[in-house]
Amino acid sequence: VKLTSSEGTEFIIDRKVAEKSVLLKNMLEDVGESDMAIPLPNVTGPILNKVIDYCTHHRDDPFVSQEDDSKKVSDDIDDWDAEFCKVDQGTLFELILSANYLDIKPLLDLTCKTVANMIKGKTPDEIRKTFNITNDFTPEEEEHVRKENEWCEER
Amino acid sequence: MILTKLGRYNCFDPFGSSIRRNSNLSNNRSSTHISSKSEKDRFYNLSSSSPTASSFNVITPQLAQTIPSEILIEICRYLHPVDLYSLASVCKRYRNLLWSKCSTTTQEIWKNSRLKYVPSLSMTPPTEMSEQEYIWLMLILKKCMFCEERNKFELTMYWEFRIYCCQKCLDDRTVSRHTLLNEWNVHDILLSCFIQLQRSSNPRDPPLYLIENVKTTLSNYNQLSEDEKPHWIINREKIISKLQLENEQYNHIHDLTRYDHTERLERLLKKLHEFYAWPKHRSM
Repeated sequence: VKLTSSEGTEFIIDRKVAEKSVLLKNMLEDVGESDMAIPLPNVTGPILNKVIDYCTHHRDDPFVSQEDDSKKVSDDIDDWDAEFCKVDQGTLFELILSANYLDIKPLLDLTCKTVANMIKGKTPDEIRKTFNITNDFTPEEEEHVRKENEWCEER
Repeated sequence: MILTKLGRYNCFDPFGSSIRRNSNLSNNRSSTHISSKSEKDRFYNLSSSSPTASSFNVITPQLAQTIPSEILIEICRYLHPVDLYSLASVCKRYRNLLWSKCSTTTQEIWKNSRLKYVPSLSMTPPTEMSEQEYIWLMLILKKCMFCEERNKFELTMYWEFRIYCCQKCLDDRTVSRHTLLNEWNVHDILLSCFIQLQRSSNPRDPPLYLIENVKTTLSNYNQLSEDEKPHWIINREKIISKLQLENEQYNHIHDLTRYDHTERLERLLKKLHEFYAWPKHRSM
């Protein structure tokens, strides 16, 4: 199966690997065998490369159907996956977006868990620092938020 | 921290930031020292605004802040209510997503997190109480709702009144049956229309009433016509007795959620001790 990233770089991968993506799986089922490259305008080359790495490593994993949400925890990441997620934040967020777009549920879960683990146990200020989020509350609004938090009600 | 924030304002809005900076400085007692430091900092920020540095600065916040809500919700699935609470104070967008009391999506996020990470809180919040408020009362609130008392053993959940507070603040906000009847001249037929707190299982212990609740109930009652009143009282009694049953359960799960076994035992002993000492220092 041929894929083209947003810059036009071509990737050739096994059908089995491509089918980890529900989007590609459905596409391949509709189109059938074809030499035409599938364009992925939302995914850059380096990110697509990472995604393919992931799908190749997990090619033999059984397809998990919508599992019970309450069983999903964020500390069950295995070593390979943890290593895979040791990337800069920009890459991590792009991986999330690509996993969402390509509909690769296990990769989406993994990357979301990784982000969740970065949030855990932090104060709002630490979260802002970690993700370089601008505090867009005005001082008055911040005071309001503080009050709301203290009383936990909307005013 | 403040310096970096000012630095970033510089990139986007130099005028706004300089106004903000000036007002900050005029409020600051040790202005000379800080001002020279922040001048240096500003200079550093301006000189280092090479294309790579600025593109890094611009792209990363966009990612965390423009990420689609469905993905944020996905991430929230792995967060404990306490973390959701922190996340809700990070920026406007996160607050809008996590603070709504009526959005079903928001309520779902909190509910899922509660069920998953706080198993003792499997009971749904009472009607008219949002998930956020429920978790706040049960888990997050670490001090008296009204004063600065933080000693766990001084604090008690009075679910009947939806308050978690110390003895003094409870006394300030409640009134005894005796006072209601004799000083407030409330007719005793109305007593069963107020939410009441039974301090112990001993039926001879007079219940306490929340002043605020008594006031609103009375004002509602006084607005009724004479014909409506008997029916209203019956209805109200029904509601109250139903609540009373529910409250016991909530008080119980509160203690399970907030205190471990030893703490529960200690509290029980303390209560027992108070029970014998109580009538002495409390006017009836």
